[in-house]
Amino acid sequence: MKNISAVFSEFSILNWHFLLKLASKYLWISCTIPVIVTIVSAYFYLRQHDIYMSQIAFRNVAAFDNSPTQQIATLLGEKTDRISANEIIGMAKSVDFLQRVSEKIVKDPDFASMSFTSIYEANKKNTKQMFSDCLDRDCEIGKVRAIISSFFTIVGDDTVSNRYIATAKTLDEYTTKKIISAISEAFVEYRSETIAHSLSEQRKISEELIKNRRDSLQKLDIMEKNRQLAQAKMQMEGLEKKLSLYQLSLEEKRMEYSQIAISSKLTKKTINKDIDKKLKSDWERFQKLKIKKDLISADLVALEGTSFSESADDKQIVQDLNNNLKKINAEIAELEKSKIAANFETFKADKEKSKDYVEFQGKVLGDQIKELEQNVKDIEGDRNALLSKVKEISSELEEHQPSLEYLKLLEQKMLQLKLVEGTVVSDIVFDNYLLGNKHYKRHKLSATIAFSLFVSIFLVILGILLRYLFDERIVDKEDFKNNFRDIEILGEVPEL
Amino acid sequence: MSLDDGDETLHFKRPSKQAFVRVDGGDCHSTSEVVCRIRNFKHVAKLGESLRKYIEAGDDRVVFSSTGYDDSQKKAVFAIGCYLADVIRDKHILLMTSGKDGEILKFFEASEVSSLDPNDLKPLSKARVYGFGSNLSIMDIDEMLAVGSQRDQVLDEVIAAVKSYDIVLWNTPSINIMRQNLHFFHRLLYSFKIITLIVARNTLTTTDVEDIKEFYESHGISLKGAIFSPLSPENKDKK
Repeated sequence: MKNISAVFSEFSILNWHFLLKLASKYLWISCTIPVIVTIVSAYFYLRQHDIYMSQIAFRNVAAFDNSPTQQIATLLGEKTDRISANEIIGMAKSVDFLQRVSEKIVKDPDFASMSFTSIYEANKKNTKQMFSDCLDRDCEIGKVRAIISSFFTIVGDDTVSNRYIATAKTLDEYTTKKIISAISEAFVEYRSETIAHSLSEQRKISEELIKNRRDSLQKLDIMEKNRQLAQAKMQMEGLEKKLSLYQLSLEEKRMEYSQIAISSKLTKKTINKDIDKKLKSDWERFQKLKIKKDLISADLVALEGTSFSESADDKQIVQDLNNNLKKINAEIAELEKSKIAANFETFKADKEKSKDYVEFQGKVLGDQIKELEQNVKDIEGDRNALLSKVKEISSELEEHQPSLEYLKLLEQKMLQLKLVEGTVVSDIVFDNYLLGNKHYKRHKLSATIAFSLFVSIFLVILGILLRYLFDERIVDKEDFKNNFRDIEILGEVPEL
Repeated sequence: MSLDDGDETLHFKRPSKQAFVRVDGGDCHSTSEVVCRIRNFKHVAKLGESLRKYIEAGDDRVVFSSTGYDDSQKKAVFAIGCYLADVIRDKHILLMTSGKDGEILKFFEASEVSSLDPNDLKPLSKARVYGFGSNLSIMDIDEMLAVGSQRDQVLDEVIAAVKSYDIVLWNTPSINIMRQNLHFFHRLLYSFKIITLIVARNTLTTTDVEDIKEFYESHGISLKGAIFSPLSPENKDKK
């Protein structure tokens, strides 16, 4: 066997120049192998069935926080059951999901004409042929469930987050579309039920917890204490209002009493005060002059009204009367200041009259104030007693406050769960159009050509190498040198 | 023209002046008209220089061998011999071959015939040595064996001749013939030092090479170089 090292090159792994030389030497290998490979590739390419592929995209809207359920839950502070990418992809492999999909497919009226032949198989069969040994629908569902997962895949969309693509491939166009339809329906149902179930379970657990908590609190008489506290607080509130009213009334009475006391004091002072004697005598004279003035005025009026003779005596009389009147008027004007004495006297007289009444009023107010003070004192005593009671109950309740808070939270959660449970919507939303719908052969023509080219080159290289290794004839100088490195090549035989 | 053993009146043509013009055109400055007859002189020069290197290093007894590809082998040996005779003029070169057929016949035709020793009446006295120029002689082993009655004597003469020349180039028969007549060639082989292999493309196999190498190495002759022969007409057809 020849030395194989000639085939390899330290620069390009294979010594392509040498291989080309071998290819031209063993021309029949170089030609036959590509022809055979091309014929075989063409046969396999033409023998392939068309593969029908459909794709539909869907999103996990829970991740975007914009599903109705999620929004309501978020509003109420409730967290719903979110699903991760791995769970979505894993869900498609679960038996429960496959069962749903299978049921939907088998229920289809055209189930018998569908094809579940593997895309890798050469002979295409319909379901009637494949499931001929099944006598009932359950058997068919079971068989479909066993094989259906090989006809679809679910993968994450590389370009959009939280978006997934379901792809179905079969040898039949209708079957492919039916699988896509069944997958989308099953997904939505499955998720809705899962979320509803999850919320229902949470509600049940919450109910149980509330019941247990209430029982334990009842045993501790916490509820009764709570009621007592509320009652005491209400009483406190009433007492506070009452006390406030009494205190206000007391203040008013005190102010009133204070005014009466001042009034009484001033009255006494006024009564005990004496008027100036000169002013008093001036006032008496003033009064007399006033009377005199009135009489003279009356006389004058009378004289002027009668047919009084205009005798000198008469005139003199009128003249005298007028002079007297002027004189009296002048004197009255001078004594005008004495009116103060008259007013003071009047005031003093009035005060003397009201003196008893004021004293009586003061006594009444004093009694009222004493009574009000007593009432305020009593109410304050009651309030303090009630406050002590409230403090006592509060301190007792404070010890059990966490339990009460917990119960409150549970009750809130319970309410939220009831609201959310009534609005469950699937968090998986499918597009309402197919992302891709096409048919193709499993091995494309270009791929087949490339593959056959690759295989041809590989087999040609392999063939010529094997032929070369077992061909002991020395081809050329390079071949000789490769096999006998220690023998120098001197040249070529000359032509003579 | 053929050479018969008993033909005393050989009429070899003397090379004319025109023979000194190269076959492929141009002037030939060699003093040997034979060298000028070589078509691809450059190849011969290259071969000769390669071999001269060994000869100057002391390996002046050179065997040329191949497997059944005699014509190429003979052509190579004659061409190299002529070249060496031309470039190493102070040395006497003996070229041993078997037979005069094929293209080398023209060498014999262009040679001057002389006996080994004209005064000697030994059985080999009739054997001829063909001279080319002043320092190249050709000996036909077949012819010597034919004229000699006792092979041992012939062998002694041949060995003596080999020893008397400065440089000896031996165009050997195939190793199968050598093996068959090993009792004759055995002693002669020990007079040589290196072997140059004539490689016929697509004919000689690696096994053949190993076989030849092993055979000659068992006689103390080391394989030093290889000369490639072009494809023979029959091989060209096969390819």
